[in-house]
Amino acid sequence: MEKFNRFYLWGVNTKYRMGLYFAAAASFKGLVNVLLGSWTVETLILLEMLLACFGFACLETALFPAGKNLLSEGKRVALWAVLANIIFIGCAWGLNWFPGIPLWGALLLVLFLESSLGGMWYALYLKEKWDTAALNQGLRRFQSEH
Amino acid sequence: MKITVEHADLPENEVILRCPSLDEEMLGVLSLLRSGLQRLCVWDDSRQTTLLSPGEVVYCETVEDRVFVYTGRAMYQTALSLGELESRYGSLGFFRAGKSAVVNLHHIRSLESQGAGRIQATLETGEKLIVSRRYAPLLRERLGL
Repeated sequence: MEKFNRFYLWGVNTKYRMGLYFAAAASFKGLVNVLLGSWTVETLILLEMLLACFGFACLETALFPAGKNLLSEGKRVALWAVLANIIFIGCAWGLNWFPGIPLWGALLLVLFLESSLGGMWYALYLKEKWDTAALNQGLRRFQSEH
Repeated sequence: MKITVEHADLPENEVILRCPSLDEEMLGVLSLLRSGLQRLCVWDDSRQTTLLSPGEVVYCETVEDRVFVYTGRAMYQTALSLGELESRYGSLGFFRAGKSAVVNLHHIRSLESQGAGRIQATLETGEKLIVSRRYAPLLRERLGL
């Protein structure tokens, strides 16, 4: 039962991560298609994106299991970034996710990917920084009042 | 001074001091009784017992079913459990930081959010102690956050 519960929690955790990445990938695909003059998105590409996002979410869950401090794991963060690039750029190129996109457009997408990855970690950094400031403020207040 | 211990059917322990006036001896007894209610009885490696003021305690931890009390300068043992320490001295700043540690909030130099819901406390002694995910929300509540 405990194994099942652990597997179930892993599944829930992975599903959220997969959903987040798939939403981003599908949005970009839709945006690129609209810019290229098409108002439809191929179902097969969406399925490929879903599978790629699931694969990456699985790797991410394995790299950062619940309870790990994400910001203190430098090597894991580097590996996570490399895997994100290999999976998303590799799939987009190899499976032709964005047919007809000019080179500058592809470079722009790569730039978006890199800034999104950086942005995720910067948001975590900011969250922890502000949380630390609030904690210390609360501590000083407690120490002066009690 | 005559000391008498009477056994009686009372709802709680009672100490009555009888004296013509409060002389130095009686004041000493009174202060010992009062401080005994707040002070923490500990012993060191040489089995010498000491009454510690809770304010001196930096943190306490359990190691192999024994409870160790750390001040800035020394380490002692106590017969009280971590739960008892927390409930008895909670109002004086004692806080349960994890399954095996109680920390005195007045001796924390700084706190650091550690992600994954944990908090790292740096004590005045320079030691670092992790407030586990289970107790971190209680710490936030205690600090009024």
